[in-house]
Amino acid sequence: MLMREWLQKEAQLRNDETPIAGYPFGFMDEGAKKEIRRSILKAVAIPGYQVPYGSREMPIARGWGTGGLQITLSLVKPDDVLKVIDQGCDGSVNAVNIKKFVATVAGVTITTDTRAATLIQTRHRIPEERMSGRQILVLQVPYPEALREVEPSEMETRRMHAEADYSRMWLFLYEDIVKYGEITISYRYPVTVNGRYIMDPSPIPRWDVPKLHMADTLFLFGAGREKRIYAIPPHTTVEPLEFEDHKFRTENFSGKACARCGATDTYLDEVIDNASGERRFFCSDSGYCDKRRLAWNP
Amino acid sequence: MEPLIRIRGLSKRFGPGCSRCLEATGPEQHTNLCPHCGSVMACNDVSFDLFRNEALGVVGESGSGKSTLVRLLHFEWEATEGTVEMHRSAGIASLPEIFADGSDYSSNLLGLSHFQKRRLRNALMGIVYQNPHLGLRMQVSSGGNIAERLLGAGWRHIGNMRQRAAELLKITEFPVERMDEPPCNFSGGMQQRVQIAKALSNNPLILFLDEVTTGLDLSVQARVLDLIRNLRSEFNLSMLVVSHDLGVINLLCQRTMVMKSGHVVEFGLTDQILQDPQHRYTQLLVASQL
Repeated sequence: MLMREWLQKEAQLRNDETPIAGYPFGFMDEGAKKEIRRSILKAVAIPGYQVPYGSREMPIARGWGTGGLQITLSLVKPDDVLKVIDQGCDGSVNAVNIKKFVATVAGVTITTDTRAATLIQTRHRIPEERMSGRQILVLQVPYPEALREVEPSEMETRRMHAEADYSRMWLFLYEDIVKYGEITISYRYPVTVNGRYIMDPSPIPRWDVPKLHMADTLFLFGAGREKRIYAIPPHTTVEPLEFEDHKFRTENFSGKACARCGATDTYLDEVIDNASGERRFFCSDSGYCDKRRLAWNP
Repeated sequence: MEPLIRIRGLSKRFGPGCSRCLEATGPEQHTNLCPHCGSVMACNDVSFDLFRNEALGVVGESGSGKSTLVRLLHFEWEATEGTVEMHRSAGIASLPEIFADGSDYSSNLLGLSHFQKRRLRNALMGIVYQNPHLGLRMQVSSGGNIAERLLGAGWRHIGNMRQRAAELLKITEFPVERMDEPPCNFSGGMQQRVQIAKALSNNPLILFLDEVTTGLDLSVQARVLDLIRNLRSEFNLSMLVVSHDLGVINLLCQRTMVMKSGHVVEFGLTDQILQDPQHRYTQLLVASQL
């Protein structure tokens, strides 16, 4: 059964359910939502800057997407169409739990189609289809501080951001190249936003980093455990850190295709068949994969 | 000739301070600790000029304020009072706003923001500390330590940075083929050479040397001093040489100032100070030289 069919069934089952009684629309109280919206406005005004906010208790544990969830709940409207993905997949436990929760407390429609959604919450992937200016992508962030690798002190990293003192981050990359001949960061690749702040793009693969650059969409990043919100407004420059003689490059899937939909232009997950030991590749973005299959086998 | 930097009334106080701090501390009182409020007057009303291509010596006993002076000028510590002005000919392109009023000298550099001070430091200054642990990252490769300064100055080409680092390490007689090893693999003398190469990497105008040869054995000391003397003429450096060793000062510096308890007690040509010391403390210092 396709994810989409399963969701339709689920929706029919819950058809006459109304948002749960005793809770305000969108679960959080109005004061909390207002504070988060104000933090989001500040984050949009200073692209890449980490805005501290009072992260609320959520009915899921910290570190399981509470930062993204709080942004989603503070933005959601009754007529929104929501998509939630976890590493590209619409059907993983974390994604299903969050979308069920938001649907319960806000009564929104749920979809797996990137183009149909108005609000997308994601963990560690950006959808393959280019998103429009009318959509918002909310990313869950475990570690918002890109400089944490090189500096353990929060006070010091804040000073470094304030003074744009980023030579130690660059030194980290220099040492990587001297030791291994290339930059070995595979995900959480640091980027410079709007020519000013170095920002952690959350643990998205390198493949997704170019999608942040001059996009039409608003990207919001929420770290619930670390209590930070930051943003990339539409049409903002986002440059991965690179050297003139060691350019940034994305994962290389040349010669490989999705075993399910045949796509050759998507980020692929490698799956090893336990019985036969055969290696196969599948689209990481399950919604896009479903859509492609449906297109040639309706 | 006009001085490159003018320093006037530079003071650094640690502690709350009181109205009697100034009269209760100084060389006459043999202390820089105010007995009334417990503040330490580490530097008190220090004024001097530093010229282009000049090596200026600072001598004095431990706790006389020599290193404090260097840290104030290198913007590591905030001065309590005083002005530091730079001549227009220093030509710092990235900070045109400090020469805004059209005069030959900049506004007070101590009043700049941290961001501006960092850029000024990256563009114009180099420092070599007595202890290599202060100036180097011991776990990062020696070449990387030099690259850090270049990265701070906006270099973004690995090949060019490695070439520059190799050139500098060659000048300081460091085994270039070992440039990818961290400084902790090397002896104190070699670490000091990496520090000097790092300090020179951004073509500074001003080099601060804070007791560079203390703790090195005599033959290494002589080679490092020789190196510094050659570098000064080669790179047209202005140097502020802090030492308690009069031999080092005699070898490197044309002019010298003698500090005691945070004050400058004598200032003049190095030869003059060593041959004919005027102040009681300088006489003691010269007489006790082995």
